[in-house]
Amino acid sequence: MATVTAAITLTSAAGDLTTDALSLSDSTSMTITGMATTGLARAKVQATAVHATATVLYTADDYAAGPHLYIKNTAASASEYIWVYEDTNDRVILKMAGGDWAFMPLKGDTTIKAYAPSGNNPNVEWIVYGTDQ
Amino acid sequence: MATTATLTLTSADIAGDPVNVSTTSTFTKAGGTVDMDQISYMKVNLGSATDKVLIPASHEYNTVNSNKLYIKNLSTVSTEYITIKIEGSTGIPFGKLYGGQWAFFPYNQNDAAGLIEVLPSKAGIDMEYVWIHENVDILADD
Repeated sequence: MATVTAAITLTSAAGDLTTDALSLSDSTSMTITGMATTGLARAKVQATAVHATATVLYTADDYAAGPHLYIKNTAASASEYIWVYEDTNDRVILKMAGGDWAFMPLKGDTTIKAYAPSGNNPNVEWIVYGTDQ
Repeated sequence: MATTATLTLTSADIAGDPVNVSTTSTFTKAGGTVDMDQISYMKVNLGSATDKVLIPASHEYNTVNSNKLYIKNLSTVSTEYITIKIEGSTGIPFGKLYGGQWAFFPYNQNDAAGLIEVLPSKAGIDMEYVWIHENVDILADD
């Protein structure tokens, strides 16, 4: 059995989003017998559009329903985008600027891939964890 | 002066050694260094198990923009879930939040990409979301 805890803190200084400062914190833990993970992976995103060579972040049905995905675009420039899409209908789901991260429980039955339109091959980091099947 | 999101991912037993990932992103308007300056913070009761809820509630498109979304299933029942989809005729599902779970992600929002749709597993589930965005083109409402 293994437990993974994910915690988020959203903060905004006074006068930035609203007149007063904002702060939101939340966490969620997942405990699973026989938990599996891809480990922390890092790869250069080579594809510049939806394509078979796009970087595979998650393969459909690799895990039982509800695997968790963490992704980060490690580029330093906010204009260096990585687009994350689902491979069934080729619909873009995430638009990640340099420095952006995402965390979400997946439905799990669709392959998730990434491409980078700039052709500059930015690095993407990711972890998937859940119940292997 | 900025808005930031920090994630900490920890586990003492998922691998042979403890795992600890911590990362922070600073929200800027698309492609630049200007701070984002608009927010919608909502709590919504998903009153129907068949009617989708859009985030935001109406089409507010901007072809080049920056959107960050935090969304949480407020149900205390671990088997009750909400499905997160990309808008479409039937919606393209990609996320699934069981009771108490949350997600955070940056996304696109334009005519090609569509909005975020949410559909609960049963009527009456509460959710909350924080949508941080930049200049929405309200003239494009439909």
